[in-house]
Amino acid sequence: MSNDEFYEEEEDTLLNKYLTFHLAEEDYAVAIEFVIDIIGIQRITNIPDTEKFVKGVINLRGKVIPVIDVRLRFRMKEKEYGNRTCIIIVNIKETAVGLIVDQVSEVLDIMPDKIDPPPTTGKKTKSKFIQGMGKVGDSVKIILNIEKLLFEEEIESLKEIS
Amino acid sequence: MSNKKFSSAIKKKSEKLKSLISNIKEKKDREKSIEESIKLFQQLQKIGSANSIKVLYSESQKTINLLNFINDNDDPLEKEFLKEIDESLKTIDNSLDKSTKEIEKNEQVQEIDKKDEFDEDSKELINSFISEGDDLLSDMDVNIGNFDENPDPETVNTIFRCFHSLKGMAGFLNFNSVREVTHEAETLLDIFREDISLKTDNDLDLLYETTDFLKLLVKNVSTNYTDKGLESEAKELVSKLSERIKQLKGTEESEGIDLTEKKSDPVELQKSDIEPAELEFDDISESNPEMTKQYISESLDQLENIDKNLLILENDFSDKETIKVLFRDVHSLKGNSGLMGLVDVEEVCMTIENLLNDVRSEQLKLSAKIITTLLKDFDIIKKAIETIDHKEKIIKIEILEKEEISHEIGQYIGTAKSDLLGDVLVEMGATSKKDINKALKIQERKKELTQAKIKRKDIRVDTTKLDKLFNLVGELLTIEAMITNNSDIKKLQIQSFIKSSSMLNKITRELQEVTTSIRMTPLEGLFNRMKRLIRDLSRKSGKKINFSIKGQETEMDKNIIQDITDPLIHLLRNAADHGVEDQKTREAKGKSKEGNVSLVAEYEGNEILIIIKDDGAGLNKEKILKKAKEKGFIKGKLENLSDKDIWKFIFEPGFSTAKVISEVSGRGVGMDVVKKNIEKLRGNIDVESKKNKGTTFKLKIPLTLAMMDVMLLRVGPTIYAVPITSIKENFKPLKKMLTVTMDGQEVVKLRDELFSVIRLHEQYNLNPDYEKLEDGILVLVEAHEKKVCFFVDEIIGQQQTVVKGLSEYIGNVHGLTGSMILSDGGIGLILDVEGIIETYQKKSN
Repeated sequence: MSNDEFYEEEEDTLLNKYLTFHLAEEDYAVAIEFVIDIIGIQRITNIPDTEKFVKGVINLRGKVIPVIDVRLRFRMKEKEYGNRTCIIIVNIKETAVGLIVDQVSEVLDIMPDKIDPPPTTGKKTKSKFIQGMGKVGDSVKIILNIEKLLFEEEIESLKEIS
Repeated sequence: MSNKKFSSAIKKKSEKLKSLISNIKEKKDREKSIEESIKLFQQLQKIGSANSIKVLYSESQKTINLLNFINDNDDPLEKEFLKEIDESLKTIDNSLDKSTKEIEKNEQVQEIDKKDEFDEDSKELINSFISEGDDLLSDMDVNIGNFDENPDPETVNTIFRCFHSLKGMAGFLNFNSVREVTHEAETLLDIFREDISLKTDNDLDLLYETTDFLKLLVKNVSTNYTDKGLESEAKELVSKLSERIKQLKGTEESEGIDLTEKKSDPVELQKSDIEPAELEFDDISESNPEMTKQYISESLDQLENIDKNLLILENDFSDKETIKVLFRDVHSLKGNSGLMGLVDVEEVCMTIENLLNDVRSEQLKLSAKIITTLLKDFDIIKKAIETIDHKEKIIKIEILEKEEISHEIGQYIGTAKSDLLGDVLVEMGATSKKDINKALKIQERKKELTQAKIKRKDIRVDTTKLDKLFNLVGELLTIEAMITNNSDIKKLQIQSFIKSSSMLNKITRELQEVTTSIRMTPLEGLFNRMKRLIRDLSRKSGKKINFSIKGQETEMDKNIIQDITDPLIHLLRNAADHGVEDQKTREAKGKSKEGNVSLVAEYEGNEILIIIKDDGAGLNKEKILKKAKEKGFIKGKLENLSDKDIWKFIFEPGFSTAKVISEVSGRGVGMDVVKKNIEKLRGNIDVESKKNKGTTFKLKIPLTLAMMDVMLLRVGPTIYAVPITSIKENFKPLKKMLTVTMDGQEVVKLRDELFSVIRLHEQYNLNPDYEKLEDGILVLVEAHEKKVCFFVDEIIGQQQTVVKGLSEYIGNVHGLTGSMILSDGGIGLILDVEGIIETYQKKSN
């Protein structure tokens, strides 16, 4: 009945929406279904003996949530945090993690037919984080695979050693 | 007597009513007459219920309903209704004559019954029957109403369950009228369960009638401790119900009463047609997952109790109390299983019930063999129930053929009597009957004292709700700390605020204590399972093991109990398997034939101490050293290793000196997992052992994972928290107390002891305020008898806090056990004192 249609519509609307953010000259996008919060940069408590890109933990309304610096994750140069820097809190596999980005832009609709598969040539290490390339108007948004972004091991470092 | 008085009162009232009804018919003072009639009928109803005059009660009820209806509506059917009311009055008059006769008869019967001595136990049972019966029946009306409006399987099931429970309880107490009626009702409901569309309005009437009658019976029980006196009414109702059942079934077969009640002929059991092989769980999908979950948890509880009681019985075959309790549990299990459609479980329970009945009526004497068989059977049932996944449709399990079970049990029903020890002794002239009786009395006394029956009123709560409550209380505490420790407010030093906030603090602490205690359950359940374990182990290995437990009333957080179960099992297995030597060896060593294993629990400050002790062979030092060498665990000089250090090797992964890997132990994956599990609970494990004397394992576990008293320390910009229990003292060192070795190791002399100093800022790469030790503060901490001093910049203060994990994403960080929210909203890191000391020592070695 009409109720079912309505619910179907709702689900569909979540499906093709992406939150876009800016990081070092490029625009990135993450599926909105994983995003549970966006907050401004706040005090981070460092945790020893963790990866470099794991900056530490923050207190989000009484919950202790780890945050990672996406720049460092992509092995880019670190940038000082300014008043535009934001933390995007994502929830995946029942774990909440914060992503520190330069600047948050907007929520966009990107239809599946407008998404190209990730580029296969070139450096492997960073491309595995890419889910697809979204074409929006004139610009291209790099759609990230959140699971890989958070959990994928760094193989490159081992290769370098051997 | 009084009843005669009532019968004349009833007669008077019915006369009045006749005139009132004719008024209504003629529409004279209609409203008033209706009102008065209702009043009179209500009085009649009361009399009916007080004197168990069913007809009076039900007819009055009917008429009241009709009168109410007439009052509300100007109905064309009014004439019909008034006719019915006339009929009712006539019925009342007729039965009045009948019932006065019956009442007289019943009074005689009742007097005889009352002369029976009701012992305390029976009274208690009857009381619980009454209260449970009241509850069930009061819900019944509502449920039948629901059944009328929305005939769905859930409602039918509920109604069925009500009747079934009543039947069970009644059966146990020999309340035959209740039992017979509920049995028929149950059967009728069962038909509706199959096909709900068969229900008609007449059926609903029938069900209401049944409920009313049962209410009457329960009332009877509450006054007279028996349901006797309404046999004829019961029979009437039973025949009405069975008529309807016959109609629906279309067969001539009448159901007859439960097999349980028949006296079982042992021979019949063996010959009975039992289906072979597998226990089939049909139709689980029909019952909803909620019911299945409840069934599983209830049944597992019941099975635990059954186990415990069987073990008690094993030590005393004549323990009537336990037999009663056991029977009840088996009976409930049977009932519930039947409800869930687990026919096979039901039938096995029934067979066992029969056996227990025979034991109760002394047609059969218990023996160790029987108990072992019963234990085995319930194990099978337990395994079967544990494998039920409420999403799966049919689960088949391989079991002992039902035939085998019944056959084995049948063997023991009616077989040889195991002579009572006392009788044998008297025969031999060893003691006199007097002495035996004396000894028995002392035994009974002791039993009474040790069976500390804590009668608690329990209520089942969903653990997710508890967890939510727990979390909220934790957050409340955090926020309370944030408010009361707010630096701005503190500066203002407002007296009234300080007063109120300290009261708030008191209340929140108490709230926290209460919520923690909710999750606490006594270790008794766990310990009883261990009893069973040791018993099985000792039988398997042929070693005689004396297992003693102490401190089973000690309470622990339920979650923690679950987590220590496996480690405990492992340690006890080791004790029984490797520790205790076999009889021959023990005798050769001059030890007692029986090995001794003990399990003790006690509180120690904020922690629980669990001690597992055996008086066996003790740990083999040489073997352990050899293995440690082999695996390369030994670093440094052998001579420097104390006994304690040697014992620690058994906790290394992959370590096992057992030559033969038995089914029970020896695979070398045990001890390190045990240690890890205990450490996960923020506890620790200690070993002591002496050759040929035995081994003792000590487990220390904090009472609660969630809250901790900590001391806050500042090192540079970071705030660390150290559990208060680890802190011995703190002080500002004087230069003369400090010494530096050539290796750069700093040592401080406090009174007459020397302690190493660990600079936390070096460990964590921070910029401290002070470089020189004498400018900062030293905190003396202890972990496992190792004492060290932490060098910090400042001590902030003490706080009780909710411990939060470090997020799975970060995983385990060495030196930290968790995090906490500080009162300014920041995050403090909780230090793992033992871990830090260990790493520090490893580094320096």
